[in-house]
Amino acid sequence: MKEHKGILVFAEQRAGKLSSVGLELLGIGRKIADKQQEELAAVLIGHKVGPLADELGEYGADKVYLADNLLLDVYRSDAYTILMQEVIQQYKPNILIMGATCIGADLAPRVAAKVNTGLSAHCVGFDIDDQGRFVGQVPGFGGAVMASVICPNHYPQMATARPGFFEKLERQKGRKAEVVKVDVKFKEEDLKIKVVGTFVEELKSRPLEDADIVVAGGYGVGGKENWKLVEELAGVLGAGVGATRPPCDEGWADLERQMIGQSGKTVRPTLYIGVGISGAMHHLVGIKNSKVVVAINKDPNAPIFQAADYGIVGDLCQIIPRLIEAMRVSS
Amino acid sequence: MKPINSVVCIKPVPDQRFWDKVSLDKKTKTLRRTGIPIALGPLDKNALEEALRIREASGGKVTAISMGPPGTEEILEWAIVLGADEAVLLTDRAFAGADTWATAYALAWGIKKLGGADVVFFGNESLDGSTGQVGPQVAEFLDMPHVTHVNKLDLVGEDALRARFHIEHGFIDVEVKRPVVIAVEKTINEPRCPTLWGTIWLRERKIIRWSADDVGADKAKIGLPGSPTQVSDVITIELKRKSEILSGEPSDVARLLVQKLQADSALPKG
Amino acid sequence: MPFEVTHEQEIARKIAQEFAEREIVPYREKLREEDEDFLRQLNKKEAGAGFHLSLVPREEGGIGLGHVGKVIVVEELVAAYPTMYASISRDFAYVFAKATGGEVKEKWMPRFLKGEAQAAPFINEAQGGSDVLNFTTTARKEGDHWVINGRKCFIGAGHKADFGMVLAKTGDPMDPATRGIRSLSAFIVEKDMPGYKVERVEESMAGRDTASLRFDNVRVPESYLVPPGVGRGLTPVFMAVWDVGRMGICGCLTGCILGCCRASVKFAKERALFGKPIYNLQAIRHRIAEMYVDLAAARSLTYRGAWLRDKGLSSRLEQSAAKYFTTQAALRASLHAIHIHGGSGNMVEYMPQAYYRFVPLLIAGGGTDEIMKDTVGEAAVSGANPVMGARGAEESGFYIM
Repeated sequence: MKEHKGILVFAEQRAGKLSSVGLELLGIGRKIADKQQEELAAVLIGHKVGPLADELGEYGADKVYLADNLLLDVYRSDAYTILMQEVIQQYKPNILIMGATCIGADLAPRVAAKVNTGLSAHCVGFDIDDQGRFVGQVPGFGGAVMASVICPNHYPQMATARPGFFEKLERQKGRKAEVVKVDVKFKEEDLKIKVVGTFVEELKSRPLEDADIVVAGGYGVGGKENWKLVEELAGVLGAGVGATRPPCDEGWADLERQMIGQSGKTVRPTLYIGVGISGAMHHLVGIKNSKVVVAINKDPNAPIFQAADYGIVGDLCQIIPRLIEAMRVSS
Repeated sequence: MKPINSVVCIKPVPDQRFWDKVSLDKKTKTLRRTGIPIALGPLDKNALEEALRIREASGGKVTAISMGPPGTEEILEWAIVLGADEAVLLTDRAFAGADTWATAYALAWGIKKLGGADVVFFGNESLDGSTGQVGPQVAEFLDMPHVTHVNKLDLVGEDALRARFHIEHGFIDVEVKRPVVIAVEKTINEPRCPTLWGTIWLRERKIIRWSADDVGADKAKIGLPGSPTQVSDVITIELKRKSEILSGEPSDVARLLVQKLQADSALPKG
Repeated sequence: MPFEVTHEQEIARKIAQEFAEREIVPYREKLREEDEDFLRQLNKKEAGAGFHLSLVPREEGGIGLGHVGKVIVVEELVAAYPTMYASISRDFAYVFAKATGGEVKEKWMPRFLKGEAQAAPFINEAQGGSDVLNFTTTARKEGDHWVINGRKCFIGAGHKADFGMVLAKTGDPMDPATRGIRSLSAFIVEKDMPGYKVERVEESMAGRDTASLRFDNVRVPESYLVPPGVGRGLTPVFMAVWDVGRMGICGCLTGCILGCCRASVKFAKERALFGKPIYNLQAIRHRIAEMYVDLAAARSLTYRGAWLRDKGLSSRLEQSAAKYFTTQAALRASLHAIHIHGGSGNMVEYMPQAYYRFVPLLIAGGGTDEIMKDTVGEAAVSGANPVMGARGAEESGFYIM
């Protein structure tokens, strides 16, 4: 009889709001739990976060291990590690998945070391192999290589998952999870890390790294006037506007917030449209995780066409207005 | 101020300029890296820089440590050229094939043999593996607190540090008494340029070599045998895009593209 | 005799490379525009990095990399931008201060070590640097001072020098004891001495790197006469030009070849013609190959000449060969680079034209091709072996520069 059972996910919350990644993990967790015919649970740690447990149930959790205490208000690795260890040792999950967010990446390895188990990092896929082992798909070398990683002899089999790679389930209003309370047995004096300040940015617009759609312009856009077309297309799509270096140097775009590439931002949108971009390697590195890549360029030999799903050879001044029109018509 | 001693953990990674020459051995499922020069990773440089700044503020020593095969001396040498007082290479066949757990274990034992440290620095993630896991795991084995994603670090009082844990769209500022493990991000500082004085330091300072026995590591907990995770398969990803060129009149091409994007569910709904 | 570049010298190269990549390459436009503020900042950074101390022995407060190490460092800095050659002029301050000793050394050595003093040899005159016996700059004794009158031109970094070593005529044509090669003496002149003036900064196609200097009754104390003394001025001059200047210049020219190679390979990979990068065209690859062979040969001659100096062996032959060869090779390489770049080769945004405009400055500087070939030719006729080269004892007699 297997001692370790059940899929456990870490439901990250910040300031009383569940991070999307926790819900994504419930999505993939549900698939694995169903395949294994085991239970799917979530760990929720924070202060006054009871209502979030309900939300976790609606997104697929069968059970929620809830640790709710003033000491847990803001994330601290030592406090959270102790609680994770408690849950793991008491409830012995088979598999534990956490989001590879900043907090997840800070917490997961500590937990893995503490409970003496293996941890696969930044997985973009999961599976159960024919020997019943939990497999994480881990990209390496800038994405050129994909490794399948297993943890055959230690439990729980742990992994962190890349945010944005997995789908959350459809929310089922009223679906309830069983809430199991986890007691906090330590005091402030027992903790080595003291929180002295927190800050959360008021985002005026979504940072480019989080955008679902990105429209980026390159030197081929040609001028400030034409750049407005790029921005207009982005506006119609609700997209973030990115750029390569030359438009930033020319002043059509902002280097800090918009430059995409090896020395700039990495984006992972569902749709990326590159306008007037030749497709130099250092830019392509920043967009390769895009689901669908579209390139519009006057030069049929531009390397970007090899790195795109769809390419249009033509003058952006002709193409973009008609593209905007076609999108308006279709929606 | 009491002198603060730092240990900087660095990792040999293939020089990024030659990454396209790294190939996958399909039989052994390992990456063929021979002949490709190794380099100090960019975040390791930030980590070393932060340690050097603490030394400038407080005195104390900076020791660079790395676990790797023979040849890893090159990055330890470069750490000395940049200013580290000494360097330690943990090298032993028994260390090979380690995952992050076994690597962290070996490094922790090496740091114990050094007599510990006030601050143990890491780059937040390495260039090749980029798991970001070894720092917190070393902290666990050394029973020290850790802070990762640090983009600001200050000395506070007699014995503490204030670190800024950079999270998505914000940060959490924490204060921790030393000893502590800190993993830094690239924006924490601008790594210094090496100077020719580094050639003199290289003549005068030592690279110490330790085997698994030298540090007293349990052979069952290092290398491949000590690794709870294993790689069961590796494949190269050929990022094959459709490369479908749409031709025709601008209005036709535009409409065609929209159709295809809708079919791919790439357009926003509604 | 076999020689190899040491591990330490390779590390020195990497250090110079990183400095060049971070502090020079991104600012090429400022160097092209000769932005004085930027140059001042850059000089400070170079000083902080200790590049001016490459040649100075450890015991004297330097880095002690020897001539080979220095040449390698110069090569990397010059490859980043050719006018960085001004950096190599810096250790003249060390050479002159050390050779003169006394109050000159006390005054200038500490400042030099901090990177705050620059010096240049004030040798060349309008009637030709090779024809030293016909120089018109004079120095006459007045009590315990010497009074110097005359003009010098094409003095590299002359306008930036805090002091220099002037070669002046002290001999009396009527007195056989002070005729011919015994008619010349060397003196230290400082920039704020009354009567000394930078007459004008000369503008060459490379930029404003040389100057004309004027000496109007410049008085220098006896202690400013450079040993070994009156009538023996050629000795310190040879030391400056041979020991320090010439190898630095060879390193500089090798750096130009290196820069041409790098720029050409990069361009050939990026520039497409007929649908493919141009390195696929044999004609381009052949040009690149010629540059690479020239680079390898330039390095061999330069490093070996420097290595012989480090070993304390006579290397006049090797240095002459290196100087003549590297000049020609650098001219070839810059032309190849321009060809490879096509029309862009002429454009200031690309590097080949920078090397092309700069190299000719060094045809005459540090010893002309013609004189170098004279040296080598004479030695060949006297039975010198170009492979073994070193003949042990220092040669006496003189070689006209």
